[in-house]
Amino acid sequence: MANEPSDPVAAVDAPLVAAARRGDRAAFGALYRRHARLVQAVLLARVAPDSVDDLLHDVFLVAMDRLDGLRDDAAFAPWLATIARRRAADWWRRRRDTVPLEESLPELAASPGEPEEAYDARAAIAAIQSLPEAYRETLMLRFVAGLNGPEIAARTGLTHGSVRVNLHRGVEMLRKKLGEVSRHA
Amino acid sequence: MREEDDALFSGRGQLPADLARLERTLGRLPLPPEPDWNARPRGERRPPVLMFAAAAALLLVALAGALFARDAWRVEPLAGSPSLHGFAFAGRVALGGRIVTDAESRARLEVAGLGQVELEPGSVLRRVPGRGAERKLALDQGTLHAFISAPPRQFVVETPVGVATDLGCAYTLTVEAGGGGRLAVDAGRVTFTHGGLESFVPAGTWCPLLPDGEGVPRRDYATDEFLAAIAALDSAPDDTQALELVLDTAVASDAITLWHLLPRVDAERRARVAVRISELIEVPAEVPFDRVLALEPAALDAWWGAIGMGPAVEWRAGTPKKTRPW
Repeated sequence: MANEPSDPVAAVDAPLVAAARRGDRAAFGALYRRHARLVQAVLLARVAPDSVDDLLHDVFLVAMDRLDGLRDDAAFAPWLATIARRRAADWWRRRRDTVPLEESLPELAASPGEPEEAYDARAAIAAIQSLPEAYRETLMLRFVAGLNGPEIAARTGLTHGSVRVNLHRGVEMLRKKLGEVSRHA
Repeated sequence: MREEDDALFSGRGQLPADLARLERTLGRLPLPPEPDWNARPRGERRPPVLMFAAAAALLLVALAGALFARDAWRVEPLAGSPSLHGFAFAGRVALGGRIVTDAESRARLEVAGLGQVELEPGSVLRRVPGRGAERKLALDQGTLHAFISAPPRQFVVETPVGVATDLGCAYTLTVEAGGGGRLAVDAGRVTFTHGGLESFVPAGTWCPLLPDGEGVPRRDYATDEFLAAIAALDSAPDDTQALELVLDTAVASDAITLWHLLPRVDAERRARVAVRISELIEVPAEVPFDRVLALEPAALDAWWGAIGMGPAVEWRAGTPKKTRPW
């Protein structure tokens, strides 16, 4: 059933997924620690930052419940990203009338350790979230999850060319946005 | 730029200072504490595959086993008792078979080799013949969630309104009794075709299914004003005031919606739509405006490329359009 995993991430994931499916909670914990950043990035591209932590846990709980339905153990990461996108879409469908995204952004100020970095993070996330959606997830995966272009392509289904374009155009637009922020600060 | 020189794409080498700082800052965002996975109760085993009277099943298997042996997709009840009709039995459905969920039941269908479809209560789903390698279903009513990891255009769902073609994705499709419904894409891409028009529906967008065709795609998190305006236009496609309100309330990321309006409005209003798109996003300067207004496929494709959802050729079925020397 499972494909032979060709990338090293998938190669490590596959036995962990198989073990987790058999009820090995330690293996599932390992999957959480390996992919929490990926889910965080996908969610940050879509929902208010103060909702990300709860949704991140939701995503993994859904994954745990549905692990039996995953056909290719090596495809755990893109499958998890799909669940995250779906949870984010649900979040929007339920809450779009009541939670303007901008209002939640200041909550992130206390996140990283240093005040200047906290401001940087808040401003950067706000700026990325204001970009066209084609660029948001690609940039979050690059800078929050630390994935490179080919890894992003593998997890999103985009071609390498599209990822490259999204990264470069996205960064160009992000620089303009952050420039505007610093001018108005 | 060569890949090895492109630190942003390859992740190797030195990033420019501002991006290196961004990477340091966002790469250190705190994660929530890891839950105690052992504290989560172990899931109960799902009920066994659909229960049928053993004698009846044996008889039917004997009669139709050969037919089903090669090409029958497994159905698993997720809640209640989904029922199988036509060429379907023993928890499997073949071409000509039908899955029906009542108000209490849900079902999961394994689409052989491609992924899964989950069927919500009150749904009727049929297996119908596809072309070539296509695996095709027909949703007569109700809601399905598709989770597909297959090459593009191999998984197709017909509805009374049009045809949804998977390009590698997860999506939800609803068909209401009155002919309306909704297609919402959570991941990847779907195309929806009806009456010669094709909609590109990427993740994070949805389109309503209307009795006489599909509405244009719109973003999940477009503004309320824009969504209200585009809903009004759905109801009154010829209403110029409704279109003006759509154009007035659109922001750059709504260009995907406006692009879909181009072939759906008359020539005079098309010019208004095109102008508004060019105000919202940077359209390719080399594409003559009149080619867009004439709905030349290469011109429309070039504008689609400017929206940032990947080249149109990746979306279209069939042979890629020849590049136009503007």
